[in-house]
Amino acid sequence: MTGYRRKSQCICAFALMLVLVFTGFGGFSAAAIGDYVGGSDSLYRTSISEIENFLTSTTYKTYCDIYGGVAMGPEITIDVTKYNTEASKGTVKIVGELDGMSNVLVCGDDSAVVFDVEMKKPARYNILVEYYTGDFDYGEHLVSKSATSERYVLIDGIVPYKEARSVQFDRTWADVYTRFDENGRIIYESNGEKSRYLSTDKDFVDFLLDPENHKADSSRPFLRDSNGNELKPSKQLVGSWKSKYVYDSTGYYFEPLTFYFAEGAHTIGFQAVREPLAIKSIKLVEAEKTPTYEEYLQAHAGAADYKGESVVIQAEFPYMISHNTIYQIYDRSSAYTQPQDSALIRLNEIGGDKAQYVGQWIEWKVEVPESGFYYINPRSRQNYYSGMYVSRKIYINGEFPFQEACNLRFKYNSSWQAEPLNDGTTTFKFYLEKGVNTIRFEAVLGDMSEILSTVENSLSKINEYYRKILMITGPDADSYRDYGFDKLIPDVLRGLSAQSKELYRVSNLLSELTGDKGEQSTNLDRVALVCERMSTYPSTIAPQMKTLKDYSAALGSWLADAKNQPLDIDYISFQAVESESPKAEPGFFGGLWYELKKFWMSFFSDYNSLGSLEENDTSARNIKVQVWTATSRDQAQIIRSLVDDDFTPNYEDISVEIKLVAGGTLLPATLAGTGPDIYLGAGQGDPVNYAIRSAVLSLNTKTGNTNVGYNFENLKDSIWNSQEPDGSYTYPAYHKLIENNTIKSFEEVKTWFAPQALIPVTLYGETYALPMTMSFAMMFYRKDIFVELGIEVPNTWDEFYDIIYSLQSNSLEIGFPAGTGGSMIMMYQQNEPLYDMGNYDYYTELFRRYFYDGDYNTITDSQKKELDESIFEKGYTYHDSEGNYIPKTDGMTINLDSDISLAAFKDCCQFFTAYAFPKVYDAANRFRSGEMPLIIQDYTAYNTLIVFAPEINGLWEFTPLPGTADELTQEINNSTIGGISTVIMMRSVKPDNALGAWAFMQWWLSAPTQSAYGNEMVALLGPSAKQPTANMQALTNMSWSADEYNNLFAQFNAVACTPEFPGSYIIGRYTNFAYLDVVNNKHDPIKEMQEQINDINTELSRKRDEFKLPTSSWIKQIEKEVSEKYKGWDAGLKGGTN
Amino acid sequence: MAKEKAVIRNDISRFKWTLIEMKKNKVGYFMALPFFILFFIFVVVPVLLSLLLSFTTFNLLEWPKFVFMDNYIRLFLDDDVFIIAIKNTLKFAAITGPGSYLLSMMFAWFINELRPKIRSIVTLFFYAPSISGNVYLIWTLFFSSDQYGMVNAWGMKLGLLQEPVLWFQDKKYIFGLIVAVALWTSLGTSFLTFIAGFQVVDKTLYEAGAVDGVKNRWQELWYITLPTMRPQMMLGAILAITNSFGFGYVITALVGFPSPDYCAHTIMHHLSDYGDQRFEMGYASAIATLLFFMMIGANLLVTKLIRKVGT
Repeated sequence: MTGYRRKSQCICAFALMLVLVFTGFGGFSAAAIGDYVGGSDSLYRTSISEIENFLTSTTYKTYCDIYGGVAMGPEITIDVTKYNTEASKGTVKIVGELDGMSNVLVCGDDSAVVFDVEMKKPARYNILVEYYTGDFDYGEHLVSKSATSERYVLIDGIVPYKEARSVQFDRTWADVYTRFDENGRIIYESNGEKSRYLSTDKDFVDFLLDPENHKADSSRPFLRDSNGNELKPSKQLVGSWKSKYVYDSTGYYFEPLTFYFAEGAHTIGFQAVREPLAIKSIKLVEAEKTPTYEEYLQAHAGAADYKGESVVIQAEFPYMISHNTIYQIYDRSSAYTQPQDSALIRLNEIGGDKAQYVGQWIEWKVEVPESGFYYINPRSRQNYYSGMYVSRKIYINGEFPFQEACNLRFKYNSSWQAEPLNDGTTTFKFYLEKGVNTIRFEAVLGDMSEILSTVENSLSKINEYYRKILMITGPDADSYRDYGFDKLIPDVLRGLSAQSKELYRVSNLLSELTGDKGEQSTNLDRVALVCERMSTYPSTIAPQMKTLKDYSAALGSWLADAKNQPLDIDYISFQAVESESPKAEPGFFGGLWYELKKFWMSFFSDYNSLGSLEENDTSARNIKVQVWTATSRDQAQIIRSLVDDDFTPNYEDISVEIKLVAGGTLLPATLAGTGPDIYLGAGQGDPVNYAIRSAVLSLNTKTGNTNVGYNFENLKDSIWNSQEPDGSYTYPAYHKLIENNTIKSFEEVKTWFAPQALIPVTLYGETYALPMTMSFAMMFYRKDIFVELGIEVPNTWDEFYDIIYSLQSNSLEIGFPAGTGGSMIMMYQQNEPLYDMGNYDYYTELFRRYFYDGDYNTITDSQKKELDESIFEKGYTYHDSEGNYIPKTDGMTINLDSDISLAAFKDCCQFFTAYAFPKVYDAANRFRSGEMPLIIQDYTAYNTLIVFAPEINGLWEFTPLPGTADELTQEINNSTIGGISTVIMMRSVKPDNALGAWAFMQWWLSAPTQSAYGNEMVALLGPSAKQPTANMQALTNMSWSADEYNNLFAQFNAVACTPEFPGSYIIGRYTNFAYLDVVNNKHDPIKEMQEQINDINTELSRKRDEFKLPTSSWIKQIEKEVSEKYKGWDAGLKGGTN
Repeated sequence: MAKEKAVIRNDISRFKWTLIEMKKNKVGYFMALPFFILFFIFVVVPVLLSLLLSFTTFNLLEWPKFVFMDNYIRLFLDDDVFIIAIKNTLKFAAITGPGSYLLSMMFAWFINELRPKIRSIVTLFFYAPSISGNVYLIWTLFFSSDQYGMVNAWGMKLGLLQEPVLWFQDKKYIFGLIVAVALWTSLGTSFLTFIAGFQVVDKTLYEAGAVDGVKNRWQELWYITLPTMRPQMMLGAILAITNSFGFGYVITALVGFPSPDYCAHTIMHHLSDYGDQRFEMGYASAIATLLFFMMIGANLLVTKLIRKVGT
């Protein structure tokens, strides 16, 4: 019972795991996904000393204050092939050829590549990196996924300032259009593939440059669905070599970052955060100075202002974009948006909140009739942040024309605006050469950058001070006590005062810039005021702690919002200088007419159907599969397009209908007999619940009984062989699929998931569904706070106990799952299941003796066989995969009353009773403020944190849970409990489309589809929409950083799932009762739990009785009868119940 | 219209009499038909079906099996939780039913005394909580279990609490809290009916009462106002009862399902427990039937009581 309190001595286990990891990590070998005995995770945890190298509170501004005076040095070119092989880590490789370049250095997503430089004298440098923006694949860790490459820049092994911690190397993407004829039918190549072209191809560029195509009523390159709505094109990476200075990716600084080198030998390191990177060259140079607007005008003094007709380009036809998350969107609010339709979706604009993050850009091509100065006049709308403006930086033909062009302002307005580009005071004219020009708009922070960077710094300082005060006062500060802060933490008081002044300063600046009357600046003023009061009157610190916390949380959200730069762009007009802007919005009557038309059309449009591509009109196909999902419309749309793009071409004769339904519809629909064939996203308990009521059939039955389920291999055979009387095949549609082995077998599909993931959907040997998503608890911790307190991340619960003291003595809290979540984890780490399982030999013998009429002692082997078969017929046993008879006795009673279970429950309750862990808390907020630097929670909380708390990006990590050391081997088992959502095939599937339904199911859950779905979700809904896929291979392809992936993968291999048995719903309920009695009333945990056991077992028996399964009371009864007949027969058989 | 020959009720059978009457009033029946069809399909049929189902076991996915009285026997003899549910329901209904009824009436009476303009403002003020949907959820904000929740934070600040209390998770507080929430949201439709009722009382009756010797406002209320507005009181009472029996969804929203140790488990909860969670529709139907009769009984009782008003 004190197994995990023991000090762990796990060195040999650790060494074993090292070997395992290095050998087993290549691909998903059986060893890697075998038994879930963890320990391997320890390898991935960054050690405290390593973290220290990356953590720095120095900002670039301070760095410049110190080294700004040093002169820029002469150009130095680094030969990338001569990198320092000793200091470099991870996968680094020199590639002979990549897209026309030879000797390219490819560094993996796990790498840290280090270069040596020699300085003759102290100097500052910008770093210019020439890298590849496209796709490449050089084996493990060197496969580029869709995300932007991200690196730490280390000088002499240390990150010199905060901004060097996230240096990004963006990619370039192009739209992929599909050719179609005048009837909207897709044109196919001779090889049967759709005829496609990129937006960077000549075809499209020709289209772009023709002004006719930018008229409101011209023909458009977008495909249309069967309803006539335009469908957005897909995206593809375009490979090209690109030189880019190392920039600050937060957007606070416009100029390339500079790095200082003292005299002598130095190293420059690029440590991977995300994605591999292919580098051709690295140069230490001085970036060219950008001219001012005046200098720019002088440089083009000879050029005349353009006088002619305006040239208009539609913004929804970009040439290239920086992220696959940027796509065409539609506006239905304004009649003047080009083109507009009162009923149908027209992709008539681009940007919005899809291109709102700093550094994202969109590039267009335009042909102007003569050289000269132009006004660039986008019809745009910023109706996202009231009282604020968003900024854009413009590049013309890849050049940044003049300094002021990085502050192009777009003020808030609820309606569309058309104003020439300006910075709020000056309207700029831009020099364009005759012919084709490229125009790029990049999202930047503009004038706001200084404000926002100051606020961010202040905020992290204030959070730090808050924590320091908290360490003295504890979470419930006593207002009436004099803590003597001025003596204890004078530096904090000084800091608060400084931050207050700083915030007031930027608040004024903000008011000046935005003309804001306080709407925005209150957020800053409030925090500044509290800080000011706190520093001036230290006695008011304690009562104001809560206020400070609330206000700074609000400021944090404000900051996160203010950094977003969303802007809708409809079209861009290149027009004569000083000419009149086009009209951006219709007059009153024009608008009214449009609204009336829209209202009228709303009676005829079907907004709920997910239209498929027109050419996929399904009536002609003979196998129909209906799929229901209760997710959001966006998700359903993604599923639809994946089906159109990938399923339909490969499974030609199967037509799939996707329906978006409300949650909870499945049961009534099944009852009414109108249910779907496949339901995506059912709950963990649903499959078994439906199955025991015969609404769902098994997917892998070996019984051959079609009332129990399917065996798709047999089904394939019978379909293959079934012929009509005239000799033709009954199901010709399936023949090609079976011939090409396109439809995978259940046994193969099974291996795609973590082995435990199938446990909740399996009952007595029959698997009734497959897992779609799987999420589980992991340990989130704040690196900076752990470093500050000098504590190591716990590997075992013993170590966890040790750090409780370190954290609590500093008044910091720990987030632990409330209820029985924690104790279940501890139980499974000690291989203690939730239900009483196993002991099959005993029950088999018992059944035999009970059901045998004669004297069992004289039974012959053949009689025994008959007897076994008759017990099986009665439904008390099932076949396992080897064909043995296994009694259906698992799950008769609950195992929460075993010694280990009770001890685990007691220990977990003690966290709340004796250690006073908070029972209810807002995890994201407390993690962000740092008062809860360690939280055990579902790993999908990552999604929230990455978006909600950008100011702590890079300061936290999630790792596998602390484990329990085995008493004998000292191996650490760090299992976690996984929860899954499932895909079920309903019984309403007809015999002739069962194989079709399975074909869809195995296609949907396959790695390529799941990773495409996951990536599409992120592309469509942003970084907070990462899918917790259950497919292990798909997890690899998602845009996790190498560290995140390693941690996730380590925990993935140590996921345990609880089985579902009839009546399992009762367990959570009663155990929660026990937990609440303990934490609310301080009752004895063991007694409370034991009191619930009886109720749980009664309900389990009652439910099992309903489904004619053996129950514990029936077993007791037959045990009595059998032991009366055969005394002492069970010697040695009835051991433990496990 | 020609005068029809008078038919004497005693001359013919009751059935024939009804038919004749129906023929005479066929327009009325015709006009009631749309409502009647809907009422029949969506109320009468389900009630009858549920009555039938209560004699079967029905798991929603397979065909029901007839088990006669088994469900009822189990309900009364072998279901401890049901006994708790009955106890909670009656306790809850006994407090919040009359409680909310009296509250509505008292407030309506007070408000009725105000000047018309102020009256409408005050009416809106009191009525607002019940029109704004899930406004009761504000209580979860006040009584949040977080240590920074309002009541917890203040309680700890003032030294009343040692550590954060899980208000809606601790059976010591749950019942009291949900009764308070129920009373708070109860000033709904019945409250409006009362206000309307007070307005329709014939003013001349008060004068007549004064002449007949009504001595004070209480007597005026009891002998004149309330008897006059009996229909409104009836409606109010029925609404109050229905609300107090059907308050389950608010409890679930506040406390979760099921409540700790079933301390706020009402018959409604028991019903949805068996119907939605355990797939035992037959048993759930038996519970529903029982609830149906309980409500009918309560309504009959209330009708009787209201007849006593003013006597």
